[in-house]
Amino acid sequence: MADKKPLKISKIVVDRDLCIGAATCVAIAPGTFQMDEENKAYLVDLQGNDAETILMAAESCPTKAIFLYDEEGVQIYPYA
Amino acid sequence: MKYDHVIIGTGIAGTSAAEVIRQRQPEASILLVGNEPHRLYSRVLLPHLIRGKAEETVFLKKADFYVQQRIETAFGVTATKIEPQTKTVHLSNGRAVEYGKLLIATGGAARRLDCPGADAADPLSFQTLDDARRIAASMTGSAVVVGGGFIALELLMSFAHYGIPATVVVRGDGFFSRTLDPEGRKRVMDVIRAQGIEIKTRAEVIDIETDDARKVIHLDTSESLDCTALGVGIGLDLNIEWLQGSGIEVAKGVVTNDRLETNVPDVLAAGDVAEYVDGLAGRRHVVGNWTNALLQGKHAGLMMTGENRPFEALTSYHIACFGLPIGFFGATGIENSERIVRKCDNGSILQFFVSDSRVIAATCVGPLAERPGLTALLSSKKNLSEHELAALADSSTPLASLVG
Repeated sequence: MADKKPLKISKIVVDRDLCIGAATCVAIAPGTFQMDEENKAYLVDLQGNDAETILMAAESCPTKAIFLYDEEGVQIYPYA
Repeated sequence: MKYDHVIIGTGIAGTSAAEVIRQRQPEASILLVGNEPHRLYSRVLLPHLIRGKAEETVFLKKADFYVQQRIETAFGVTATKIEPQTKTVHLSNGRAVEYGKLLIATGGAARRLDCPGADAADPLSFQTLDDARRIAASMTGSAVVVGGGFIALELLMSFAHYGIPATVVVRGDGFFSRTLDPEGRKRVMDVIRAQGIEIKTRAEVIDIETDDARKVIHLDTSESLDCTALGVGIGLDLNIEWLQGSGIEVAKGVVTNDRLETNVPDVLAAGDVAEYVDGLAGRRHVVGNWTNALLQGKHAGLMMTGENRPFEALTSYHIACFGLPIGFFGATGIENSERIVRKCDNGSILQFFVSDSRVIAATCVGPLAERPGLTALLSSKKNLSEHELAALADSSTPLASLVG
């Protein structure tokens, strides 16, 4: 069985139109996401938390507003 | 059959708990039971579905998630009884399962209209994926919506999206009548009316006649409204009836301490159904938003696998009322709090809920311009001085400065 490739996130995008300010991403990965003055999530640090935690944060978003991409630009989340 | 962990409820709270348990206990047996036939989806995305987005986009887990995580599931199954003495849960499929730890994350069901003719009118509720499918299929003719909260608003926006004329029947003075301040309520009403939607306030439905596709809604104001689609958003009845006689304490919801534990050993509750002791608000209450359900689910998972600490989180919910942002932060459902209103520099109306000199909740109608300051204030557990309480109404005082 091939070894599972370790999760590596090279790009994170928050879609401000989809973001409703639920802030589950901040609760889960506060090193990576914070809320701005206008009640939208924004990226603080691409490596503010480990990749698994960032994926959990993206998965927690009720509107799937967080997009994660790998080194080749392939979308990791939301799942295709 | 015995499971280390039995979780009743396949929504975001139950699923979050299951995930945390699996991460922390790779070998534990987990049974996840829920009355819906679907894998986890986001209720928050259902309005998008009605507006035309593909159905696959509402799901939050891949189809193989449960098998991959070795979480055994029983979809389309209800828990009918708990016997704590034998640590047994009875299920609607005839099975009785024994639990090591049990999590009640059953949420609630959309409250039904209770008047003559209501059932025959086949009203549209808006909670589940199946509800959303029905609503999407009802976009013809005209609509009446009953209710004055989030769901009624979402129903109105759905009908408006398809150009279906609508009238809304509200029991109180307007939308969110127990939560928003008068000015905030007025803004919401103005925006809704500007859409051409008629609002009947202080009105209740007393009778409904149905003749094929046509329905006549009779109000206690003596008015009657014609429609082909009837939407209802009048609240959530928490799924606690089935716990009567079990020994598990219920009041508004399933009563827990500050750690989400019920009065019965090894039984916890999380999500919409939990009436928990909130350290930030200083009292027990129920909370019905996504963030709370997710975070409580995760916390319950921690508690079920050896952690032992209080759950404390400031959560919020936001909706855009035909473009007008409305936010609800913290314990907005708690009764008997003092309300202080601030007219913000950007024109928005910020309302603070104060209990024992502590700001425990807030609402904002219009764009919020100080979220980090507001979050800090609501999370601070600080007892404000008279001077600071007065400053809440003063837009020239940055909220962050009240926390220091």
